[in-house]
Amino acid sequence: MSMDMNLNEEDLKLRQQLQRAARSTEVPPYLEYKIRASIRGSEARHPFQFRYRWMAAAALGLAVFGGIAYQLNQLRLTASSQESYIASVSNHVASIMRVGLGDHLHCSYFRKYPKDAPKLEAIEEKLPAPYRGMVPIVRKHVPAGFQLMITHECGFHGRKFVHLSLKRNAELLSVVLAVKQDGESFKTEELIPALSEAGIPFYQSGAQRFQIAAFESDRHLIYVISDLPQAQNMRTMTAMAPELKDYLNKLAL
Amino acid sequence: MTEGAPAAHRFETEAMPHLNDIFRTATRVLGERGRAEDVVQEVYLQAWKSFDRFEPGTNCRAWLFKILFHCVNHHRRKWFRFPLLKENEEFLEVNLTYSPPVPDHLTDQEILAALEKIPGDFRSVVLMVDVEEFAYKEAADILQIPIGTVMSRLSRGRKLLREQLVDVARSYGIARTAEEGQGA
Repeated sequence: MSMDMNLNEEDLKLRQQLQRAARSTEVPPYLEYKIRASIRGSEARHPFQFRYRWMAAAALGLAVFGGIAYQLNQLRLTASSQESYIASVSNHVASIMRVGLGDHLHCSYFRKYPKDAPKLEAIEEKLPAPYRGMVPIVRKHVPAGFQLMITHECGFHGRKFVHLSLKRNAELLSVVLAVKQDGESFKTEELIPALSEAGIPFYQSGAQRFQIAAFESDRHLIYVISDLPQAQNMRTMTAMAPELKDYLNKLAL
Repeated sequence: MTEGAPAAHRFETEAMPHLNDIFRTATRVLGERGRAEDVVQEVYLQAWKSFDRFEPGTNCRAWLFKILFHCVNHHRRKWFRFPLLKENEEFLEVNLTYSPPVPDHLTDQEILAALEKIPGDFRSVVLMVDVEEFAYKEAADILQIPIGTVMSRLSRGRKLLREQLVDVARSYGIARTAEEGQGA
C-alpha cells in the first residue's frame, strides 16, 4: 500500500473521488469464463504437464480434439462455461424473452463463422421448406451490410427453433422463431409493449450487449436479437414484422 | 498456500481474485472495454504460462500489473500511434501553471471522462498510485520507470486531472474560474 505522506487535502479528495469512480467499473461476467477456457486450452503446453510422456501425449490428443471441434464450429468455450454464461445473461430478462435470447447465444454467439458469407441458395436449403419464404423478408429489412450466414432448424434446452443468423463485421443479428407452447404469449407474461405499430404490439428487453425485440403471430414467438443499439434493433423488428406475421399466419403447419 | 500446492489451485487462489483490479485498470488505460477484455485475457494467459517462475509469498497483484503494462505497451504500439510524451518546459508552462481545487458534485462518469483526457503515461501513474494504492517503488517496478519519474508524473498527472475536472464542473456552472480560485 502507498505510504504517500505528501498528500494534501485536495490530493486526498481527488484520490477518493478517483477510487470511487474507477471502482464502479465491473468485470463482465463472461470474462472469467473466457480466461479459464484459454488457460485450459494452454494447459497442454504448460511445463507442469510435460513431466511425464503419457501426460504430454494425452494433452496433445486433447489439443487435437479441441482443434477439430473448434473447426467444426462446435466449441468456442466449454459447454459448461457456455451454459453458465447464457444463464448469467438470461437472468436479466423475462422468461419469455429468454426463449429467443438463449438460442441466439447458444447458436450464434458461440460460433465461429466462415470468412465469407455462404451462397444464398446453399444456406436457404438448410431451412425447413415452409419457412424458406422468410429469407427474402428478413434480408429486405435488416440494416445495410448484414449478410445471411446461417439458416437452419436448431434445438436448445429441448425446444426447436427456426434460426436465421446474420453478420456485419463483428456485429451479430438473429431472427429466431419458436412455435408457441402451452398458450405461451407475451400478453400472458404481463409484459408491457414498448410500442405498437400496424396493430402489432412489440416487446423489448436487453441484457449486457444484447438487445431483444419481439412480437407474436398466431402460432409463433418471433425475436430479433442483436448487438445493435436498442432503437435500431427495434426498427429492424418493426420493419419486417408485418410481412413476417402475414407470412407466418398463412403457413399451413 | 504452500509451494507444493498444485499450480492450478495456487493460480486460482492467488491470481484470479485480482481480475477486477486488472480489468478496471486495463479499461482506464486503453479507454475501451473490448480491448481491455482482450488484453486482460492475454495477461492471465501469460501469467499462467510463467506461473512456475512466480515466487509464492511475493506480491501476486503487483506481478499481474507488471504483466498488464507489458501487454498494454505491446498492444499500444500496434493499435495506437501515440506521440511520445512531451515533458519539456513548454508543456509544463502551458499546462501546469496553476493547480485548481477539486470540484464537488461530479459523477463517476465525469471523473472517468476527465481521467481519459490526460496523457496515457501520466494516467498510468495516477491509476497505480492513487487508485490501486501502490507505493512509488512498486509503481516504478510495475511501469518500468525510475521512481523519480513516478513522482513527477504523479504530481503533473494530478494537476492535469484537476484542470480537466474543473473544465467539466465549469460547464455545469458549479466551479469557480481559475482566476477566481487564485484570487481567493
